[in-house]
Amino acid sequence: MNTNTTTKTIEVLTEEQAAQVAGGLVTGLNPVLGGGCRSCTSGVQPLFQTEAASFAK
Amino acid sequence: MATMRNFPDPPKLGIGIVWWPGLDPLCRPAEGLVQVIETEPEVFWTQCPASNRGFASGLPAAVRHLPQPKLLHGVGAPFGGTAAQSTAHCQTLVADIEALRPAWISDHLSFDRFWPDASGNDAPAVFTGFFMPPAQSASGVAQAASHIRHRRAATGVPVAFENPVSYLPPAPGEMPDSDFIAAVAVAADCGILLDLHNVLCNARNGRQSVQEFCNAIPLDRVWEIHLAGGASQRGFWLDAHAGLVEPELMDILVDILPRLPSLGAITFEIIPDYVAGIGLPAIAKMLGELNDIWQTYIGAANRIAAPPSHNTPALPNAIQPALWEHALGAAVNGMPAPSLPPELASWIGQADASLALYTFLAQEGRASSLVMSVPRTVRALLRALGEADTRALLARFWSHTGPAYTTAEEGRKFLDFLSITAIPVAGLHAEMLADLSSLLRPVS
Repeated sequence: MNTNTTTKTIEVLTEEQAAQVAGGLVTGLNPVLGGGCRSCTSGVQPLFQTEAASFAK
Repeated sequence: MATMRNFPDPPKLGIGIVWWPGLDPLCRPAEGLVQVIETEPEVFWTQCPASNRGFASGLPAAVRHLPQPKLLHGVGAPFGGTAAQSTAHCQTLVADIEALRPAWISDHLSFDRFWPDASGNDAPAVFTGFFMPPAQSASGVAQAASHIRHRRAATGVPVAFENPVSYLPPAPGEMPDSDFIAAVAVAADCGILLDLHNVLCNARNGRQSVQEFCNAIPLDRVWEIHLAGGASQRGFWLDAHAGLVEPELMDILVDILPRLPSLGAITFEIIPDYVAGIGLPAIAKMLGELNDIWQTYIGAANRIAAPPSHNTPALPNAIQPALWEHALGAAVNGMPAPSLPPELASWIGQADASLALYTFLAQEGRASSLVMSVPRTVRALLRALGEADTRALLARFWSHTGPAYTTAEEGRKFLDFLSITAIPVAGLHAEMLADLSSLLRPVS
């Protein structure tokens, strides 16, 4: 997740929406946004699951 | 034919870690835990929007603060498939090598793309979305050895390959895993990156035992060992890089070290997502144990006798790589299957649990890459639709569009798909435009 982009996102959201986005910040950091190939794990890439869980009602 | 080694032994570097920024506290030299930094270079590359398939590397700048020697472990041009390394990939890798001067580089003995049309025309390759096991046959050996030799010639540095993990049952007529590894190493005259967790996964998932595998590969060619923690999924043990090294794997390491005269590094792999849950202190403690093991190894290394001359195994050629890659790639991505020999077709039918696992892993990889490449769009969808309906939308996307090579391409493809799909989510268009703007931002 690119924290700069996230910061900009929070700036234009309502307070409630920003709180929801902040929930998404629990996801693991990846050094590159929109960059190269995926890492060489042969397991489950958990980023989407983590992101979805942070938005669960 | 006995093996011939036409390369010097690599330097004895020590304990390494596949580096991510969050692991920096463990890599401070004063900690004495990490003597070599391994990186996956492509993860630090950014696609240049203006030059098709060109890359700008941020790797040298990202690791400049780390004084340890560097090793590069590729994840973007594996050796195990029909497809050759692209010119752009080669150029960017060579630039990283010139900047970081690794003692050796490595990549995977897997494949990541295939051609649905075997007629040899100019149709583009289709990406699998996941590293897949190679065709273990004489043709597969020749193909991998050719890629490795080319990589060495293009980069000017020693090259090792990593033994693959496979969640497939043994295929009819294929070479045993150890014979395939041995044959590739000899044919390419290169080093082996022995991923012991991959060997353990393969054994637990019904392939060769750890002992049988390790007894049958040329151990004097092992330059590096990979260790990782795994995870259970759908009845398989996965090389998930999701935890610490378990005691059984540590025992395997201790047992095999006195048989490795050419070992240069032992590297621990964990993906960033799991670091917080495990905690840096626990990882540091384990790295300390590995340092103790390394010191014991170094103390005895000059007394390790070279293993007996290794004879190359028989090379059955029952499986043609292009057909193998097409069959697996199509099965994993829901595409029409090619015409297969009866024995292989029957095996594919019996491997449905393995292939379903690969499909799941590829799709979770694609979904996670969207969180990185188009984060605002994904959040907008999850906020408005919830996980179940967002996943349903992703399933439509996956049936419409195959996997992309890079995270950025995957993001752009998803935005293209959404732009022709009616999604009743207020504000989605603005988030998509913001993500697109980020993806198209010029690379500095």
